[in-house]
Amino acid sequence: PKLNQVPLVRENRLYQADWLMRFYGFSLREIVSEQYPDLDLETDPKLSYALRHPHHFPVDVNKADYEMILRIPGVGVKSAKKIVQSRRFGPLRTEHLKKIGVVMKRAKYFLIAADRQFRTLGWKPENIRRQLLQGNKKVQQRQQLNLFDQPAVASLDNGPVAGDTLLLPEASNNILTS
Amino acid sequence: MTFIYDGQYEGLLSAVFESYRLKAPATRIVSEAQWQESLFDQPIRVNTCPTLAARVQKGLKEKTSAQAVRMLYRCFLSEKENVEMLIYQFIRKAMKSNHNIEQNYADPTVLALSKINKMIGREVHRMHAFVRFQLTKDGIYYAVIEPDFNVLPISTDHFEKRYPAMDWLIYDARRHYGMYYHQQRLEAVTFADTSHHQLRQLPNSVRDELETDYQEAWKRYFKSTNIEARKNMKLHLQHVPRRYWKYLVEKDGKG
Repeated sequence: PKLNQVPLVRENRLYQADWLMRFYGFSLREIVSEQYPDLDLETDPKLSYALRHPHHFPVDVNKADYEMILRIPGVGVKSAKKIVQSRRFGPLRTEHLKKIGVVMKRAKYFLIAADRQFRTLGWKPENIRRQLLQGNKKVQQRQQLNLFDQPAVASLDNGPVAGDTLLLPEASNNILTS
Repeated sequence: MTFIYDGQYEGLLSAVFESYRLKAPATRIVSEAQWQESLFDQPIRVNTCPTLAARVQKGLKEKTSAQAVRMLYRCFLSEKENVEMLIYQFIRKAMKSNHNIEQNYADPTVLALSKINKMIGREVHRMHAFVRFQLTKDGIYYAVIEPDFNVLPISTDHFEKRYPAMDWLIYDARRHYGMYYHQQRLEAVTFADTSHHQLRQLPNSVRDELETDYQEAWKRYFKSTNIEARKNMKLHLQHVPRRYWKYLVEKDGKG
């Protein structure tokens, strides 16, 4: 069966959220909450978290815990481990981070390295978000498709519940039951 | 100072030892095969000595770890340009330091070697998957591969464990040697007559009579388990790049 009509973004975000909980130490409450009950379609859950909690950032890669470094958008598990291993030998600079494999395009708004770069720090979340989504072709394509989409998230009359029904799309749009 | 070694890993380690012994830091380490006489260079030719090579490895293992020692060997197999210097620099830095530098990814040498190691790992993984055997009349299973790097020596473990009771030969067409496993022993072999080795299909005189049927069966199996609606060439090529299609029966040697 062809899957073209159902946007797979929702499924993609679900998987990303699951990954965060399993490998990045996120709790469910940190990914969705009463104030933000839905997964953002345009940004991945990790970036959403960072944009909603600007007070946790910027993270100093040379001093912070491994757990906090994991939360920087653009830093994956492997990069976080390499950062923690390599910084024993000397202060890490942005050039090192880039070579290690950190996605500096995203991470630069959220971290501090030994060479301080102030240009990308202290931004308002809306501005960071706009900057990152602008020029992102995939997002623009998706936004055009969404104009014809039916809303698919289950109603929230009963309030958010930890776990299941909150995040699953309505049955008719659920590709898993087609 | 330029050092020339015989092209074997033990030769490289012997050259490293020589560099220490003569207190002459190496600026170039090149294999005999790649060396070109030049007017200005006064290179030092190093004799390969297994004992000295072992000493270098032992010292390195104490300063770093068995994993690092293994990583250096794997990087050597990559045959990448100037990898000898990277290995040499790593050994020097490791011996000088009081800590194990293996995890200092801020260091360009460590980083470069770890990336090469990763590439080798991927190639080995691919070699486990992209090997297709043909049965010969002698009862030997024969396969041809053309890996990007010289990973045949580190790929055979997998096949030894998988086919311990059979006789098989995996031949590297690019490097003109193969690994022949028979009677539970492994040895390197070369062909005197190299006209056959590039053939994907063995000539009828050599292959077993049922071989054609088995190949047909395999191609049919492959076709029947394929789901047309799920076809995604871009993703497929990420997993099975075209350059490996040559020796895969199911691809009919396309590409």
